[in-house]
Amino acid sequence: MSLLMRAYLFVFAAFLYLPIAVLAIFSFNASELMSFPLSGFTLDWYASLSANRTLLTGLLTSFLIAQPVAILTTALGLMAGLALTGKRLLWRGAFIAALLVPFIVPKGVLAIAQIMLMSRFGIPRGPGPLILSEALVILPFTTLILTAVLVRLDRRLEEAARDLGATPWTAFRYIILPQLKAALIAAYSVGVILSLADLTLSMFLAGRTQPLSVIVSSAFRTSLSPDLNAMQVSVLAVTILVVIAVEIVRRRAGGRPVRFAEHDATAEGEDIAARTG
Amino acid sequence: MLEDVAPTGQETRPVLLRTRGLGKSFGTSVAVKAVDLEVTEGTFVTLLGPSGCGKTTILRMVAGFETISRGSIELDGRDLGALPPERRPVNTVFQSYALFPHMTVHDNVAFSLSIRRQPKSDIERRVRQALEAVEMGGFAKRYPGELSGGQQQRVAIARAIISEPRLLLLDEPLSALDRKMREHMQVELKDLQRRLGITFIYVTHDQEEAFALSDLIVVMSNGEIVQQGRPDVIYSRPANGFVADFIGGAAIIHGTVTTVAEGRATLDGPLGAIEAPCAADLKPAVAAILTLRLDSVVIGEEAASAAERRKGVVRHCIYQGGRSLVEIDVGGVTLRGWSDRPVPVGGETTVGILTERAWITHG
Amino acid sequence: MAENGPIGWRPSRALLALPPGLFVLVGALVPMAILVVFSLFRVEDLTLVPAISFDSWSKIFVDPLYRHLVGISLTYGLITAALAGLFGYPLAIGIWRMSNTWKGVALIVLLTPLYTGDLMRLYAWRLVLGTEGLVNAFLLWIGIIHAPLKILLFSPFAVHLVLFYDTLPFMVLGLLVSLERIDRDLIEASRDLGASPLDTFTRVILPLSIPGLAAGGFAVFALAAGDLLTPQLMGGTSGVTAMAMIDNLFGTAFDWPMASALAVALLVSLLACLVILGLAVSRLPPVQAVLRGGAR
Repeated sequence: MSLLMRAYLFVFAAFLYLPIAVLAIFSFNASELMSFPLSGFTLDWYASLSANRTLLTGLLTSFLIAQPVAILTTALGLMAGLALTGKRLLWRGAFIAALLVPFIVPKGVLAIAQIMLMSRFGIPRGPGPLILSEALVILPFTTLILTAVLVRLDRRLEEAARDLGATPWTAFRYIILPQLKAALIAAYSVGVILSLADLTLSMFLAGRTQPLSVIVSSAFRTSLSPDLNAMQVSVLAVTILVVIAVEIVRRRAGGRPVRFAEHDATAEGEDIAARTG
Repeated sequence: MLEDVAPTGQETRPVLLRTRGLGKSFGTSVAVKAVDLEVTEGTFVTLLGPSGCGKTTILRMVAGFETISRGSIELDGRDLGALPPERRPVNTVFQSYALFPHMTVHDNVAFSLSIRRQPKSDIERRVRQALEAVEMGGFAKRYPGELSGGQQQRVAIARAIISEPRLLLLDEPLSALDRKMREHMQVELKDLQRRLGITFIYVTHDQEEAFALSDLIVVMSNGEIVQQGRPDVIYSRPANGFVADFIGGAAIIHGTVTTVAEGRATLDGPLGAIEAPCAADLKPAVAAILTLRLDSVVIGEEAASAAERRKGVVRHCIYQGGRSLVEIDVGGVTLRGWSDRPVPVGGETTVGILTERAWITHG
Repeated sequence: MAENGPIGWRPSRALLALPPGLFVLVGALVPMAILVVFSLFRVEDLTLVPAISFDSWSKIFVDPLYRHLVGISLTYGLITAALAGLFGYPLAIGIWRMSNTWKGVALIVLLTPLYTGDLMRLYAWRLVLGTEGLVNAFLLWIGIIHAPLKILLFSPFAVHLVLFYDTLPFMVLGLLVSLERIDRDLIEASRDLGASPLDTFTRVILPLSIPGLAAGGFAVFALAAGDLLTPQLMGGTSGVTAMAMIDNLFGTAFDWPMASALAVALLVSLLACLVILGLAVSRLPPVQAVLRGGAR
């Protein structure tokens, strides 16, 4: 790989991490003010974080909301993936379009529309609607992750099982499911991560519940304190660890690190560099 | 008598490609050991061998897609060295055809000329000629996705020959086609090569294909050349057990050499002592094999006049339309040969061995 | 119902499309229909009057403000898509050519903006771009400027930068899908026939990556045009977009019909842009080839 390309990639990697680096820096900065020049190293903010009831409760709330979101969106994503990779159907195009709607339509518009619908039936805002709405918006992602793996499965294994007398459910449980383990974990993690990350939907739909993002956003407009930084950096650190762990699980399960294409070439990545000069 | 001479007219033509001690290793595994090869201009040379024997690796080294670990490759007397593929006057026809799916047949074929910024009228004329040479004249505006396998293959060939390369490399180009199309394309390829006079290096694992197409066959195994020569020589005088077995169809009988004299030897083995023509460097008391091709074994009436006769039990008789392929157990050895009439399975019959068509060589 | 024997109707996998399908129907499609319905109502004294009225829609068409706002949103979308395509393309190529181990790492790094919380991203960028933030501190320190630059934050620059940051992963991922699908043999064939690496890129790789570029571009456009938070929090006065206005009308002014009408107008405009761009892309020769030839 040429030096120019390496430099370019490095610059962008730095760009992508820049905001996070700054967050981290200020979380260790010995000053209430988050501005340069820096005042010195301290762990006080992390310490005060562990005593900050509001933030911790907020985190717990967010985390508790994220679990049902992840379960729901992974389950639905799996079903969508199975439907898409089964027999080719006429309305496949329409189905794919439908699955893309929650992605294309702005989250704010969706939230507003959902509230209008809820008001028609007297349903109040709260964790329930929030969970459902987040699951909907994350559905395209989990569907993509699971479909990418389902598309690659050898159909013949399943056919052989059915031929030998297995019911569709048995074939699924013993043939398909084991091959999906890594992808399911990945989809679930994505569900949790994106749920934790969301503010737009929480803003509209949470009602009285206070997920972390809502708490932070109110603090945003008033006073900003570095223990917020400490909180976010901690959450981020855990998130990154989870992401790395998921990736390791995926590789152990025999998948190549990147599996996008249906026609996956067997050549190693180095080959590309060599072949394209 | 068969003689070990090069194909007719070859002596007068120059050597186009020469490899000296060519070798390739991938990490610790050696794919190609030390290959010395000479390819005469205008000939059809086939690298024949099982998967993993190194034939494709050699092809890729000539094309420039693999670096050379040891030795050298010379084209027209010039060392190719580390010259990148785009600078070599060598073109490849891929097993997967590798036609650019986003370009028409015309643009695919014109590719090598248009990147060299040739004048448009020149390109048009040559594309037309190339397509006509492969009988795809009317397909210029189609896209590869609309073509059948055989058609795609022909376009791939047209694309590769249009820039008049010194050497054309073909990597199992017919393996993805069905039998009928494959046989048809074999005839076309041979014809094309003869007409254009371009030197072909062809890679395949199909020995029938190699026999049908080649002026010279290079049999490879485990990264080295095992035998090279004219197809009829390879066929009737395999150098060792591997070649004999790979060519297929022959019965291989193991035994020991008892006498050797003037190109003939006697092999002592499960069929008793049989005398037949032998490889030049054979010595007495070595382990050797007797190869009996299908056409050296006769069954039924003709067996009566054969040099050697044995009695055996018919195990299988497979009618092939007009004649039958018979498998006979002769004292534990399975011999196979043709018979004009079907023979009853399980019955005893006489087997004749035409020793002039047999061959004794190293095991 | 279904018999589970060798003969008989078995539940087809297609049935599994029902739960997610219904979920999208009830969760998105029905609400959007309600949006249209509500846009045809009107508001009196902060209560919704469920009677057909074209008040909201006539305001949308007559008052240039709304056109203007939708225009701003679409512009943010287009510019972000262009930036993402321009800068993201080399990134995608670079990642494509990495060895598998590095590819995994690269993807984790690439997806960072996604798993940082929406708000924390913006918060962090404030710390980077603010008058007392990282960039200004650095520039002051090396002496290029003598007073902090104010335009870094609460400006169109900030909005574009952060929208770019937010959506870049989608562009790169879309491109990677296309690039990974390119048959390696095609690249070899191109070089074999005499094309330099540059020629191979322009004549083989680039055309074959167009579907990915288009997919990534559409995703970025939709995300950027519909973003609520980034323009609001990064843009200052230039951060007023259609989405911000919709939020305002809905939450503060409680003018639901107006909010709905504007939302529908934004959606329709978004869709129109996507369709126009989609048609334009489908006219390109490489795409034509794929559509006609049914190639991979």
